[in-house]
Amino acid sequence: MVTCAGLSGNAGLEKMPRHIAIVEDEPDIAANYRDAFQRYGFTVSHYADRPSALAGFRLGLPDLAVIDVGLGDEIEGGFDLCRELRSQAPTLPIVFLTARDDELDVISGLRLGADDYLTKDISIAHMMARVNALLRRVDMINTPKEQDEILERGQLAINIDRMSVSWGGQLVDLTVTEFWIVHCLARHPGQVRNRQQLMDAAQTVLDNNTVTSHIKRIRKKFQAVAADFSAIETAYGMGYRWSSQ
Amino acid sequence: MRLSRQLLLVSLLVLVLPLAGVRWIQEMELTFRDQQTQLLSASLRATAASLALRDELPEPVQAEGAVYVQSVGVDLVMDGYFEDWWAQSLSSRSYKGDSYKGGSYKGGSYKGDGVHPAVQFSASTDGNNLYLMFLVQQEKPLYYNPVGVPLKNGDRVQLSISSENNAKVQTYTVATEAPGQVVARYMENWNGMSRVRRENRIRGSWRELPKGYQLELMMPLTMAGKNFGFTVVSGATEQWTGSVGPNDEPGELILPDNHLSRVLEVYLEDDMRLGVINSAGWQIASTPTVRRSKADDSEPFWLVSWFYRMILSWNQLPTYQNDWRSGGWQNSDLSTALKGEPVVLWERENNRYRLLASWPLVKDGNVVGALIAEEGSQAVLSLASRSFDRLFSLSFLVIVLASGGLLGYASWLSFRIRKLHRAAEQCISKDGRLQSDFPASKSADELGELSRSIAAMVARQENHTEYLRSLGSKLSHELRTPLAVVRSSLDNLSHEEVGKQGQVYVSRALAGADRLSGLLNSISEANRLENIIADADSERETVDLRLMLEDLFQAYSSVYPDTHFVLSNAQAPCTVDIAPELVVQAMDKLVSNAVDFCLEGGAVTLRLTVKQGQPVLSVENDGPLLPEQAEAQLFDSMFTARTARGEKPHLGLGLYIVRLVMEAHGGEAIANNRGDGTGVTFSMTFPKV
Repeated sequence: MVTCAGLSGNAGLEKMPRHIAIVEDEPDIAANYRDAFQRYGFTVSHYADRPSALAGFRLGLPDLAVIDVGLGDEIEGGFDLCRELRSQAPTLPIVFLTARDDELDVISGLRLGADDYLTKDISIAHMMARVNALLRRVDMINTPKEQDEILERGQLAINIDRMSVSWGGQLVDLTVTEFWIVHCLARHPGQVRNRQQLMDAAQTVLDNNTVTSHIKRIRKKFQAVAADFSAIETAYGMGYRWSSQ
Repeated sequence: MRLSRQLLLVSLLVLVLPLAGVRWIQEMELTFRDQQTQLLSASLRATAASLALRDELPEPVQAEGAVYVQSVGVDLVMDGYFEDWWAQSLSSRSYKGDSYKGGSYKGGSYKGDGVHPAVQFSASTDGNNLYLMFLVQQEKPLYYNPVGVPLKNGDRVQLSISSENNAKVQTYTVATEAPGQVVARYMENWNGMSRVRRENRIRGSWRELPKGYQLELMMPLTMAGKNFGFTVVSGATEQWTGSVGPNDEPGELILPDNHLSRVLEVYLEDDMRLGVINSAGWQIASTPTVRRSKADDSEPFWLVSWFYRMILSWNQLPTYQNDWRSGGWQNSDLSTALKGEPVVLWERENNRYRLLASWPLVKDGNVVGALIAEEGSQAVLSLASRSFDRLFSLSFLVIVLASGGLLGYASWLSFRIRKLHRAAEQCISKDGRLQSDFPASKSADELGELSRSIAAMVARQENHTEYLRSLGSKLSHELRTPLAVVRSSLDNLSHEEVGKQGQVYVSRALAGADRLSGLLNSISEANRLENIIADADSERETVDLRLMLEDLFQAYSSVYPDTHFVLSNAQAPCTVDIAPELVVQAMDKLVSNAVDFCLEGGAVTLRLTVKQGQPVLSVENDGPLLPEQAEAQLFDSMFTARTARGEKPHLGLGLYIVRLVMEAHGGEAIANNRGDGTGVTFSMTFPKV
C-alpha cells in the first residue's frame, strides 16, 4: 500500500487554491470527492452532467478535471466532454474516473487525450497522489527550471521534475501512470520489477492485466519513436526489466 | 430404425398390388374353368344327340360275367411271357374265388386264399384274333393226367363259348401234361361216346411259376362268338375261379367297337379325347391318346408351375385316374352318367390338369352307355401364365417405381433431417455459445417450420446467453459505483473524529470493500480476457518455451516461498509461436491451483515435454485426486471442485481462462489424475510447431 506521507507538503506549496472540476452524476461520490479535495486545500466545482459542465468551463477553466465516463443518460458523455474540453485547453490535465474498466474504455479514454484513467474504487489517498502528480507536471512544464533532475539510460532520458520522457532526443508522450512505470523500470536496469512494484511506483491499484496493457502501450509509444525499441523485457511470471544493454 | 428403412418397410405395402392381381387371376381362372366345363358339357350333349341320330349307340349289356376285350394294335407273341402285353399298356383284372373282384392289377403278386386259384386275366384283340392271358397263383401245381378223368383233372382253364344267347355252349379245356405249347381240347360225342378232340385254333403257351403258372392263349375272333366265359380250376382242390362257373352260362364278350371309335373322331376338338362306355361301364370305343399341342411339351419352370398350382388352388383336386387304359370305368366317378346324371370333374395329374366329363347315352328311355370326354387344361394354364407374366412385370415395375420413389423421398427427408440435426449440433458449442448462425430453411413444409422454429429458439437462447454472459460485467459495473460511495465515504471518515473502536470498524469496512472490489475484478477478468484473446493474434511472438518455463520456475519459487517447486524441462529448445502473456496467465492460474491443492511437504512439478511434435506444458501437484465426473467440467466457467472456503474469493474462472487461452492457441487443456494416484496433472498441449 502506498502512503500519503510524501504528499502532505504539496498543499503547502500552493500559492492559491487549485481549482478542480468534478463531473460526476452520482451525488454521493461527487460529495465525497469534493470533501476530500477540499480537505487537501483545493477548490472544487461539481457538475452533474455534460451541458452544465460545458457551461461552467466556458466561464472559467479549472486546473484539473475529473470526469466520469457515464453521465446520466449519456453513456459516453464523459468522452464527448473530454474531447470538447481538450479542444478548449490542450494542456489541461484530465482524469477519467469510471466504474467501467474495459480495456476498450481505457484505450479510447486515453486516446482522447486524457492524462489518466482511474476506476472508482481507487482509494482517495491514491487519487490525491495522482492528481498532485499531474498538477506538478503541469507546473513543471509551465515554469522551466535551469536544472532539472534528469535520469539518462542510453537513449532514454527521463526528466523527473517535468515528468517527461524522451528517447534519442525525441519526446515520448506518456501518461502519469506510464511515466512512473518507465521511471521505476529504468532506475535500476536489469532488475526485474514485478507488477506490484510497478503498481506501487505508479501509485495506483491495477490488476495484473492492466499492468500488462500499460507495458504494451508503453512499448508501442516508444516503438512509434524508434521502431527497434526493445528495452523493456518480459520476465515471465515475475514482471519486467529495463534492458541493461 | 432409420427413417429410410421405415419407409422401405412401408413401401412393402405395394405388395398388396400383386396380391390383388393374384386374387383377380384366381377369379378369372375359376370363371374360365367354369366356362370350359360348360363348353365341354354342351359339346358332349351335342355329340350324344348326334350319335343317337346316327344310331351308333351301343347295345345294352349285362354286367354279370361279362368279359372285356381290349384293343391292341399288334400281334402278340404266344410265348407264355406277358412283357409284350405290358408293353402295349394292356391291363389285367384280378379274379379271386368264385366271385368277381374288380380293380385293375398289373404285375406284382396276388395271393390266393389257398383253396381257390388267384387269377390275373386280360383279353385283347387286334381285330382278327382274340388273345387271352392268365396268371394263376395257387398252392400246389398239378398237371393233367391223360389217364385220369378226361379233361377233368389237373390244373386247367376252361373256356365257354356260345355264338348266340341261349345257344349251345361249347366248352374248351386247356390243360397240359407239362409246361410248353398247349392247344385246347374238348369233349365230343361221337357215336354215343364222348372222346377228347383237339381244337388247334385255340393254342398257346403254358409256363410254370414257383407258385402257379401263366398261360397265354390265342384264338380266332370269329370263334369267340357273342358270349364268352372262362374258369380256372385248381387240379389239387378242384376249386375254381373265373368269369363264370364251370356249368353256368357265359357272360357277354365285350369287344371294342372300332367303327364307333372312328365315328367319335369326327367330334374331337383340340386337346380332347372321347370315348364311349357301355351300360356295364366298359369302354367300347375311344379316340387315340389326347393330341398334345406343342406348347404343352414345354413345361414351365418348376417354380413357376408350383406357383401356379399354389395360386390356382388346384392342389385340392382329386388325382387323375387313367381309366382309359384299363377300359373299366365302373369305379370312376364318371360312371354316375350310367344312372342318367351327366358328370363333370377336374382331376390333377402331376403338373397337368384334366377336365373329365361324361354324358349318358339314352336309347328308348334306357341308358345304354355314356359318352366320356377328357380335355387338357392347357388353355387355362396358358391364359393364367400370360396373365401372370403381365401381372408380374407390371407389379414389378410398380413395386420398383413405388419403392424407389419412397426410398428416394425418404432419403431426401432424412437428408434434410440430418442437415437440421447437424446444424443444431454445430450451432451451439459445448459451453453453450452460439458458434454460427442457424441456417433457417425456407421450405414451406413441416421440416421447414421446424427448422425455422429452431432458428428462432436458438436466437432467443443466444439473447439469453448473451444476457447471462454480460450479466457479470454489467453487475460489476453497477456494483462499482456504490462500492465507490462506500470506499470514498470510509476514506473521508478516517479523517474525521472517530473513537478508537470506531477506527476498528472503519478498517474492517475498508477490508470488506477491498474484498468486494477484488471480487468485481475477478468477475470482469474473464470477460476482459476474452476481449484480449479475440485480438491475441497480434500479440503472437516466437518464444522458447524452455527459457520461459525457467523464468516461470524462478518466479513461482519466489512468489510461493512455502511451496517446493520441481522443474522438469525439455532437453532441446522448444520454440513456438504463442501469445506469451496469455500463456503465462494460464500458467499462473494452473500454478495457483496446484499450490492451493498441494499437500503439505508435497511438490509442484513444472514440466515441458514434446509428444509427437506437440509441446506440452504441464503443472503437477501431489495432492487429492480429481473427482471422476468433474474432469470434463473442470474447464467450464464458474465450475469449482473446491469444497472448502478459502481465504481468497474463488469463482472457478481460473481453469476457464486456461481453456480460453488454449483454444485461442488451437491447443487443448486437459486435467487428469496421475497414473499412480499421488496427485493430479493439468497439461496444456500446443499444436505442432
